[in-house]
Amino acid sequence: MTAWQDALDELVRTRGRALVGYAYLLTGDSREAEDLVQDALVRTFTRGRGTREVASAEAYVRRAILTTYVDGFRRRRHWATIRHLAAVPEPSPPDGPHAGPEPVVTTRLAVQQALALLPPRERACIVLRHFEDMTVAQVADALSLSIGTVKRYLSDATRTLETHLGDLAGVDDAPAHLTDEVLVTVRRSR
Amino acid sequence: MSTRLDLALQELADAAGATSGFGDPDTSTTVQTVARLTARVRRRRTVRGAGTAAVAASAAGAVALVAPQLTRDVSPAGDPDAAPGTCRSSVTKLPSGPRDPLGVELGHRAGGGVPVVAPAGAGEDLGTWQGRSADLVVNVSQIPDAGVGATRLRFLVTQEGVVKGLTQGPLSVTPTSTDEVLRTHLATPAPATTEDLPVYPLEDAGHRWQIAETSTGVQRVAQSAALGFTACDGTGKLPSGTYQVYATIADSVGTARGSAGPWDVEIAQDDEATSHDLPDGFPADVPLIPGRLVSADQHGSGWTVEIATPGNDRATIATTMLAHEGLRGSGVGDWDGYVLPAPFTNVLFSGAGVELPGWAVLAAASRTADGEPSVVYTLTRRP
Repeated sequence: MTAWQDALDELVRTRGRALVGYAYLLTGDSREAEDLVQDALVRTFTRGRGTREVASAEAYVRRAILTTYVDGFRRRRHWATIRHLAAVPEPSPPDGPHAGPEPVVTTRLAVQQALALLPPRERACIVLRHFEDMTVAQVADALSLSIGTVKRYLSDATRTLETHLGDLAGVDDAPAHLTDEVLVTVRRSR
Repeated sequence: MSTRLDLALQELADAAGATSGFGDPDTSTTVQTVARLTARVRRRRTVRGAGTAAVAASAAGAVALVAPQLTRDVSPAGDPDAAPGTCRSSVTKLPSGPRDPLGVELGHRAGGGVPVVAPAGAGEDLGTWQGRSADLVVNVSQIPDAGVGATRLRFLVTQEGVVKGLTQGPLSVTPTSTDEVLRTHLATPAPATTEDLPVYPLEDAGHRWQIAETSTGVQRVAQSAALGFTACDGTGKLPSGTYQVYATIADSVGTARGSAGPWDVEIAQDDEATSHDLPDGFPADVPLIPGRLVSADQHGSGWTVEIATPGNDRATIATTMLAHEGLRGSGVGDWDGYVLPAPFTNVLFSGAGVELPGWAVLAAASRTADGEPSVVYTLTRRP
């Protein structure tokens, strides 16, 4: 096999499920997440960006996942018109890393359903900021948005999530070394 | 208390990844997934390469208007003067319009397994081959209105969007049906899962009919067909590497009509000389296929040897190597009823394998414990 084939094979085997997990946070659908990962892998390796080491190739694939997801925004826009039809659970009992399996599953479902309420770009901002641990400036760069727009998306998204999940810990305490912008200030409803 | 969003997202991603079979190193599906992805990347690279070269060709043409001394060679886009579907032509020239519908399903015979016919263009690959041709199975269910007269099915072996080799054979323009093939050629009652589609048969003798299973589980009738790996520029066997195979129909005047594919095929190295680090006592004059020695064990007076080697045709190649050294008999079929194909019909061959001086050696396609394709040799001592 050629170098890119080896890299593709290793990337799929060692990081495939992590990439699907990342894509799932964006799409909220397992099948769609797998398709998104496959499209991103093809996109990355077609452009010759996958011939380096796995970590480097994975970064390109994650970027391609994000771009492909955001590019599909318009196709998914109709969701905004029907999302109010989605059933939203009552705010779930809070839990944390040491919680038992049942609360974890409960929270996971609640977060999953709350994420589904976010428009794609708000959702992408939340995932990049709180899952990929990017700074606001990095999120803006990744999504080709202004920093102000990212702040607004994060603020709106956080407010939506808090409506359904209760207070969110950790949204304002990102590591200082990663933060080059003022962190999100959640606009509270009055 | 509050929800830790970062932790919740991590748990959500972990759970989604854990429930997905994508990339699971413990399942065979991952091998197919990687193969499909690899094929998609290759196809896109081919298209991008051809597109880039086409742009270069356009630019070269534009420049040539004012600078005719510039070369017209625009390789790797191929020879711009070559007719579509011929040697050195670009695959971008292959006809694929609505007036040229071509329904071709192509598959291959796995190493001793059931042949699989993949839907055209699905990106399934045709395996890895070490010999000078691949044993394919083909089903042609629709051909363009190619006019009267002889029609040929042509396989194009391409690389970087350029035709490097081609194989063709006569194709009937009169369709038959799956049921008819089952009744008249295979004498088999139609299985419930077989689709009764029109089939345009290959006319040459030797293309035996068989039932092949599609990747969706539906059975089709198909014919065996050889895909040659000889370079069409006369340089002998194509170098090892990955190629893309297209199918097209050539009408009575040789014009390509319609196209299907590509399917990926891997041509492997076929080095003759490889020395294996075999145990003392192993007979040195038994020729073994090149590859990685997995094991060599003595059982009483006999031996078993496993060599990892990639080709779908590995058992055929291994047996052919043995047949070159095999003992000859006086006539066809005079040894236990087993006969090797030409030119080895008089080689002594039985259920114990090819008869060599002092040994009967059987070579069979297998896989190692890790799933790597291999050949297992069984050596039986002869008096």
